[in-house]
Amino acid sequence: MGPLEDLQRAVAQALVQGQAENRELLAGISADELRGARETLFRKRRSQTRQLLPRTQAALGELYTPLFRRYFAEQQYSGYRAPLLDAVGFSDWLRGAGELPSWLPELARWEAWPLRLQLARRLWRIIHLRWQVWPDIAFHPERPPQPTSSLWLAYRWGNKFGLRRIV
Amino acid sequence: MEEGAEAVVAETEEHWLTAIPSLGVGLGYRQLYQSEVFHHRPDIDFLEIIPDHFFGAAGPQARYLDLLRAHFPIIPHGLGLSLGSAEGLDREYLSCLTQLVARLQPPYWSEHIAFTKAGGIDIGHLTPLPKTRESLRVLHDNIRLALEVLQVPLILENITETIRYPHQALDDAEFLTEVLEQNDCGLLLDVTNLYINSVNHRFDPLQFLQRLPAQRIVQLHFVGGHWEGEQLIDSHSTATPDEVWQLLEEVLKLAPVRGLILERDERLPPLSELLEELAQARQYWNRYHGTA
Repeated sequence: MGPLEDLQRAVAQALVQGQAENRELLAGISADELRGARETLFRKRRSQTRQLLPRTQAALGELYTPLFRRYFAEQQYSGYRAPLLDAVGFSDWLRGAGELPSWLPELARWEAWPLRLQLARRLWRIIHLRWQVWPDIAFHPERPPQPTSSLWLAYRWGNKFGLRRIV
Repeated sequence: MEEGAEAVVAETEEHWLTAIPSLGVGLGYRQLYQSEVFHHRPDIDFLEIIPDHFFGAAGPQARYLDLLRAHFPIIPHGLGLSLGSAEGLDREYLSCLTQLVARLQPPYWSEHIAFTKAGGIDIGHLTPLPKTRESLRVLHDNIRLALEVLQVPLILENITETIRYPHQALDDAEFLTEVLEQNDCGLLLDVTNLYINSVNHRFDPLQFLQRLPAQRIVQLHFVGGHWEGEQLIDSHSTATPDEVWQLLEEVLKLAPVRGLILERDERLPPLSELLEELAQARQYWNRYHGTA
């Protein structure tokens, strides 16, 4: 591994993982700039996930950013499908986040299903939800979802995705 | 830029830069506008697509891409080839890109003077290179391989300098010029990134422009960012500010630009708002380059 390769690896570790194995390679680079670049990366991933899971983000409200920051520190994805992987990954991660009402990770799981189909290159799947998750739940907090078992059809066709309740 | 090099670009009729068509004023394609773009064809001269979003396109997505291509000139704008990676190119990405470029048959394709991958880690964001001879060598090797495979001219984009390295052998303008000349590439001048760098690192963007090989400026990007404290961020999330319009006009005065692209990525507004920005860009375009 040459000098530039070593340096790039250290920079990549600092930006993605928060610290580099060979910190001495980063000597002379401003710690503020590294923090700023890592923060830019965080904002980008947060924004991409928000666009893919808008109802989940709206339901989380002020909790979205601190929760996503915890997730960001634990999980990284690579490749051109990274935004999709991030959104699905975040929806899965929410199940173990702990301090959320039970229906909220269910909303994220429901919303992420079309993305799973796209990643798996599948056209449809029947999914079972344990909470009655309305599409507009985030905008009607006075009507919290009820624990109700339901079956939904998640499907995709080209660039279009959808979720339909079956039972 | 050396006078001899400039003469080669200006006077050699067969040089690929002279053969690039004038494309006009266009838009970075975003899925949100997938239907509307067709209704506003007279207002959008060409589209720039992120190839990653169309890798492996099949069925309805492939047919949609063919439909786009039938209605618009399309320029693929790569994000993940990581031309600056010292460990070499991502061969899988290069293979996918090659298939897509062969399908689109664009007059050129674009990527960035940056790296996004190192040591098995995908940073997921364009990261600056140290301005050294070793970086030039790495870029040269990677660009040469990419051009051998793709067989289509390449233009390279300047990025925001979020990290400054110590012991740099060249300044930013020297480095950018060397990259373009050594590899016979065009420049995708991101006017917003130039403006952001000039604010964050306190230099005169007009003086910087004067030091670039103007004949190699093929395409421009423009859009707005936002402030985080005292730093201007290239978030591509707001309307183009006055300072960027002024800088864009200066570039159009001095360079034979072939196209302008509004590169809005976040907080996507209704398409009508972006079309207003395109109309403003077209006023500058018509003033200096005639009607596309």
